[in-house]
Amino acid sequence: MKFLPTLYKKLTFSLTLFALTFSAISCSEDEDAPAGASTVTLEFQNQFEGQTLTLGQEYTNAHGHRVKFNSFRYYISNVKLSRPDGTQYVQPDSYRLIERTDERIRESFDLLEVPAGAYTSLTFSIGVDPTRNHSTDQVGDLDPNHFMAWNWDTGYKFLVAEGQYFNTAEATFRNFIYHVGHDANYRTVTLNLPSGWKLNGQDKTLALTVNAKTLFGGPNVIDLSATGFSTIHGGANAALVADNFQQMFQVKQGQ
Amino acid sequence: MRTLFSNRLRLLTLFLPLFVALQSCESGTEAEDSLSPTGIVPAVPANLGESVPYPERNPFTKEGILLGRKLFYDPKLSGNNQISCASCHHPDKAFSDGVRLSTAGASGKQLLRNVPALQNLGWMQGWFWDGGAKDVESLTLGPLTHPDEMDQNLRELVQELQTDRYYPTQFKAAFGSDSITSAMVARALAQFQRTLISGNSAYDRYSRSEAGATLSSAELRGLALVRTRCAPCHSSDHFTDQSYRNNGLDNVFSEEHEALGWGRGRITHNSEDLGKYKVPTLRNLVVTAPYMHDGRYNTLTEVLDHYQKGIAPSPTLDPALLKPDGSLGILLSERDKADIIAFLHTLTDRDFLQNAAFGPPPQP
Repeated sequence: MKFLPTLYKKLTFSLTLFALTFSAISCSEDEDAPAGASTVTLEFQNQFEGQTLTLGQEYTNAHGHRVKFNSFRYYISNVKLSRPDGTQYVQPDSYRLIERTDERIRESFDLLEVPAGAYTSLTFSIGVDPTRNHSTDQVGDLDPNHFMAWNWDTGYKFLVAEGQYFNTAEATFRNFIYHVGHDANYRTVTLNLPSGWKLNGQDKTLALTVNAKTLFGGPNVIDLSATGFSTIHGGANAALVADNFQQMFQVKQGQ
Repeated sequence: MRTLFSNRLRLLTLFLPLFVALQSCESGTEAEDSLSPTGIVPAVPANLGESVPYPERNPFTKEGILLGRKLFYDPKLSGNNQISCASCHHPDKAFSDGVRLSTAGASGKQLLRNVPALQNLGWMQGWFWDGGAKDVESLTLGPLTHPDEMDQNLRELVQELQTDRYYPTQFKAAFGSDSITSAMVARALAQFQRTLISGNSAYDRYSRSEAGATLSSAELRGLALVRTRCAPCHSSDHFTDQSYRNNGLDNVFSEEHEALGWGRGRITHNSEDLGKYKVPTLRNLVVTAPYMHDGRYNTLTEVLDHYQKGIAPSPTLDPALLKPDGSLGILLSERDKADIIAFLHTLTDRDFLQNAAFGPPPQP
């Protein structure tokens, strides 16, 4: 600015004052949420058949294997709430990591400024859609520092489940490692909300149960000891797991 | 002057309020000083294209390229602070390393693929030998975090850069924020790597019909052979058609090391892609030995012998490696091979190999 004539400086200064006044008005408008909007906290209660999923605890899966989890992590993306008339609230830019590991438990996130009214269903996807799945040049929950990105095959692990299962033939626990990703395994879920679910401007929690047992036995009952089923990074078996995890979410009733 | 000023003022009246309003609504950030990174357009040799392609979200800036160059040569990028990108990517070898399979990584274990050269990356589609990296920004994640390469934890890296004496200022200059993210690291490295443009070899000058640029008769015969016998794979002035092909090196594709031997098939999960690899450019070939994805051939003569008489048949073998009579290999005489090698020497770009702007940056 030092090369500008004084008159110009003065004018710029008064313009800046004008602008500041203008921005003060516009900000105070922004800070007030639209009348009647709510924050909805989406809660993912990770469980195994009705019990809170406890890392290291033994459970029995659909095939009859004893299983223990070390970590359970997945991306939830593109969340939408539908109204009776078919219109939707869409959360912009929503890619959220839900996780239960020794290091960290985070099982909820907020939908902001959801307009008041009645809603009938919740739609979301498990994983990262193709517009975001082809580069790790990203921030927030998609920052590759969350260990959810492959370093040799650009893209995100949509779901990571790691632990042990008891291999009866060998009479010992063996690892299972499920890293399911790739565009073909992106799955979308629509769940009905409890009847009469509506927002009236107050913040609300919407709780879902997530049954980790379904990973090994939704539509596809998985034998962890079968060849190619203890470690899954991709390929045809990953699609079977994806079909399973698509079924593991339920909206809690009575809320 | 008066007209100029009044025009400027009119523009300011229109845009300044908006600008200030936007800034002041951001969560508590202080007003940024108006220093923004200097956008630049890297010069591109006419026979390579009009401009070097880059993603809209990561345009070239002087500060970004300089930062990427600094990061490229900084051992801090590795887990043990001893290995930089340049440990395996040497500028005088077109950013390859001259080794069959490197042992320069953090674990000292021999890597499973030959270090690829880094040149004209902006024009490529799919990086790594199998195209596993989908953009230049993402390719960084592989070498940076692999336990047998730089073995870095991205969270630790960002912390380390954040507490450095110089980096926060340099990130701010390049990206407008001194709150460093792994994406900024990847973007800076990508900007620098996209500037590694080779296009001033004797062949390039000949291709552009520059004054005094000539090739010898043997080199010209070699060029004609490359354009016929080595096509369609090594086509155009990029000398690659960017495809993935099985060039008959093997007929068994091991499932070991998480199916690394499947090549492109490991990425696509498609059996039709077993043993296929990205067709590499022929640029600066003389200085990028050894050759092939596993560095199995030391010399260009061995490579041409392979194409002439060493092709291993398999269901995914490229049909371009069949002679008109259906037998295996490319029809090449001894003289053809000598002429091709003479031509390949004309693809060595000394200006690229010795470009000081691609070397370690001056110390602050």
